[in-house]
Amino acid sequence: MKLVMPFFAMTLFGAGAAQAQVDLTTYADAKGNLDIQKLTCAQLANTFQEDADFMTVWYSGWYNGLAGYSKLKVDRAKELEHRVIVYCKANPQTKVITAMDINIKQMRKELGIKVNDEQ
Amino acid sequence: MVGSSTSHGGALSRALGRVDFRVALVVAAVVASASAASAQVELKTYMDEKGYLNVRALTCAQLANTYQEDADFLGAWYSGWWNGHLKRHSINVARTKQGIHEVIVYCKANPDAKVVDAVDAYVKKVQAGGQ
Repeated sequence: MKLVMPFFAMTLFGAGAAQAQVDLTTYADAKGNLDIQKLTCAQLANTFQEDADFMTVWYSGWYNGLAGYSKLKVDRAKELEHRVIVYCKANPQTKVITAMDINIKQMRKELGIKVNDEQ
Repeated sequence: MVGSSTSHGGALSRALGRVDFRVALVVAAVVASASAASAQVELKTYMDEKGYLNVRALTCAQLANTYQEDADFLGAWYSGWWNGHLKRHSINVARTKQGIHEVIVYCKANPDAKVVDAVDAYVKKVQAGGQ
């Protein structure tokens, strides 16, 4: 997993490197705040590799905090990070939170996990 | 060590000073890497039998004892988790990265503290205008 994930990340965000990579603050408001509900996959791909990796993990934590979960399954979180990156590559116009939502539900379905907000 | 060598002013002393300094650097690097290698463990060490990590129970010492890659991962994850917990839908990236750094500094000084308490301490500090 640790070898596969960086490869996909490089593939996705390597394409962005050929274009013009911008700092994440490009998408922030005058106070430096970034609306995470509006950030698109294309914008995420267009940032520097370090920031894109950071944001994907941050989103994973945000989702869990929002849902009130206090337990983290690291391998599953990293698998989700990988899937979101792949999904974002194929769907640049999609919002990152939508990509997260779709892939979380897909993983739950595959793993047979049922949670209250989906019942 | 360097200062005492250079104070003599001679070329030989200066040369010895440089050698001493380089030796000191090598020794420091060896000691640092040895201590790091002996202490670091994988994150799974702290997981339960089902592979879950209780983020409310993780201590600063445990965070500090993981590999750098895992500590970075957890720092970003905790930040997102905290904001999600508070129903906040925006992120100030520069402030967040500074916050993660400060939490790590706090954790080094307070190894027995829970990571969530370290995050809480930082948030309260910012709210009090102490950043």
